Amino acid sequence: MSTLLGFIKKELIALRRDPIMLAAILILPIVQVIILSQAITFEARNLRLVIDTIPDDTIMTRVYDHALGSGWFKKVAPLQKSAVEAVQAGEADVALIAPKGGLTRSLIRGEGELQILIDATNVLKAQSIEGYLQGIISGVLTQEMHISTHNPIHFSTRLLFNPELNTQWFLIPAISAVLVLMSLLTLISVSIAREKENGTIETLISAPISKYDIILGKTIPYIFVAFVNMFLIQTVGWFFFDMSFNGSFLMFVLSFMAFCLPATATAVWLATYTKTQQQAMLGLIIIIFLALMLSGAFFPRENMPEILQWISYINPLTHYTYLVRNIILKGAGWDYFAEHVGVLLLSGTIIAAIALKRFKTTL
Amino acid sequence: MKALLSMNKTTIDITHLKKTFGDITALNDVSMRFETGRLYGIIGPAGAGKTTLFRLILQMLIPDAGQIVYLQNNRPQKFDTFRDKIAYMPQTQSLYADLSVDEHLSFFKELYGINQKTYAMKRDELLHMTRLDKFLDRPAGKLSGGMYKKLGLMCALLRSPEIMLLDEPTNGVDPISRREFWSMLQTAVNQGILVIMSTAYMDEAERCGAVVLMESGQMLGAGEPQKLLETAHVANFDDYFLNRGKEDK
Repeated sequence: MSTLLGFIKKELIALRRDPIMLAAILILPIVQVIILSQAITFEARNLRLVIDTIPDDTIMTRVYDHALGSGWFKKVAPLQKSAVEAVQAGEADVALIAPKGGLTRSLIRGEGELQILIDATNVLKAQSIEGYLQGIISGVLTQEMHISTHNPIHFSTRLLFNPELNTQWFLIPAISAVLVLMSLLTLISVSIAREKENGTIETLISAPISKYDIILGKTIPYIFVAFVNMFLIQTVGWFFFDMSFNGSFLMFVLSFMAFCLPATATAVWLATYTKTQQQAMLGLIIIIFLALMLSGAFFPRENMPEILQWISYINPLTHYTYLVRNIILKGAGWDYFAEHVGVLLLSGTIIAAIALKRFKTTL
Repeated sequence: MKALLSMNKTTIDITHLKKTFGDITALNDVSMRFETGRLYGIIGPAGAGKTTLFRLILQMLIPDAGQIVYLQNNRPQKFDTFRDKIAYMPQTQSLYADLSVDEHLSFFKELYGINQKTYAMKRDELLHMTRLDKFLDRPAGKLSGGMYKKLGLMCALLRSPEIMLLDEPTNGVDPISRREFWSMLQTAVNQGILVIMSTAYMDEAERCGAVVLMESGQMLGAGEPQKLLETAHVANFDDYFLNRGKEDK
């Protein structure tokens, strides 16, 4: 019995002396509870809606107001483009297109047909949209226009980019983005921690090479590994799930390279805090969990409270997921590419500056 | 040969060096001078400050007080240029357990930027000297203690250093391998390399050209081993340290 107590005591002492482990154990559950409850909901909100009709279309205007009032939809800034082009360009999630002459006149003629155009890149969002809109429209018709009979409007829904609402198509690009992050973070920070744990770091820093040589030597091999990893996942998607690749391959590779900057910088930065591989692994759990939850890779960012939306905006994984998903499914344009790669390079430069400052060649 | 040696005299001059870690004083007011052509032994029990001294010389630690001057033919040099001349073999396991003997040699070739021709020559010479040529494919993690240290020494010698710092290189090595190791060090000294090694084995002190005796961060004495023993009226360095312990009490 007392042997067991001694054993337990020794484990608790070891735990108390390891601040990173302690942080992982105590802080992680709190963060998990807050984020899981606040940020993670599959219900889509704040969907960007545009309508296309003539100016004096009363019913259509009422439908639009109700949609915005419901909280599910939000207005997008006035556009130069037509509603269809706005969805195609990724500036709106859904377009509601009235028949020629407006919905009101068309209903009077008794031939109401309404087109719904949905960006189905995000399957979770797309699945909710049609239901929401039908509910709102029939509400407007019965309560305000007193058209009580069976729904007189025929909906014609078109799904762009992922017409079969294939969940795999939506998830595989995100999984590949997450796996790139995980392999870079894990391989690099653990391999640096291993040098420290085994004492081989002393050989490296006493060698006539600069710290930049050490950092590059410890990161470049793993960037190759992550690159290969990414292709394996895409191949699986293509081979088993019939996924097509609609975008520019060059853009895809350049996005990967841009993402490597913040990802490897984070790994090096984490490694400056850790002395053992175990500490590195625990630090990784915290970072990967946060990066994943607050990235929109699986849980829509639009539903998060505003503060978490901002945090997720500075998360490099958010932008890499956007890039990968949009390049593969939609064939994103260079404008879109430039915006998100810009954020990746900016955040990467900041993290790299901090990591380089902290990375010491003294013991 | 003699002329060549005197052309390339390297000196490390240490004055009033002090280093503390929190409450612990690892080195207190240590001054010493090392010059080409000799095998220096830093002798002292565990906790004497030997490793700290090496790390300070290599500027892996920043001293609290005092200074280290690096001289080439009596002209002071910047450490950045001087660092290329120093090979260091840390006390801890400093090799990669998964890499074989051969892979270590080629890794250190790249790490130190040695050209192919020099490397090929050095490699053969060192493998012959250490008799590790039969174990080229064996991972470092599977070498015996003595072979492991020899591999470490080989990696350090690969770049033809002018100065070698060896932190307890013979610790945990069997007596026969230790003897071989010492003869390898002697060869290095004869080639004009300044060798500074530390050891907790008192019997090894007598093999050094000059020793620095240390205990708890203090320097007790320095000079030729025989002269130190005669002055202290003791037969060997075990007694030297043991007698000191008695005086303290």
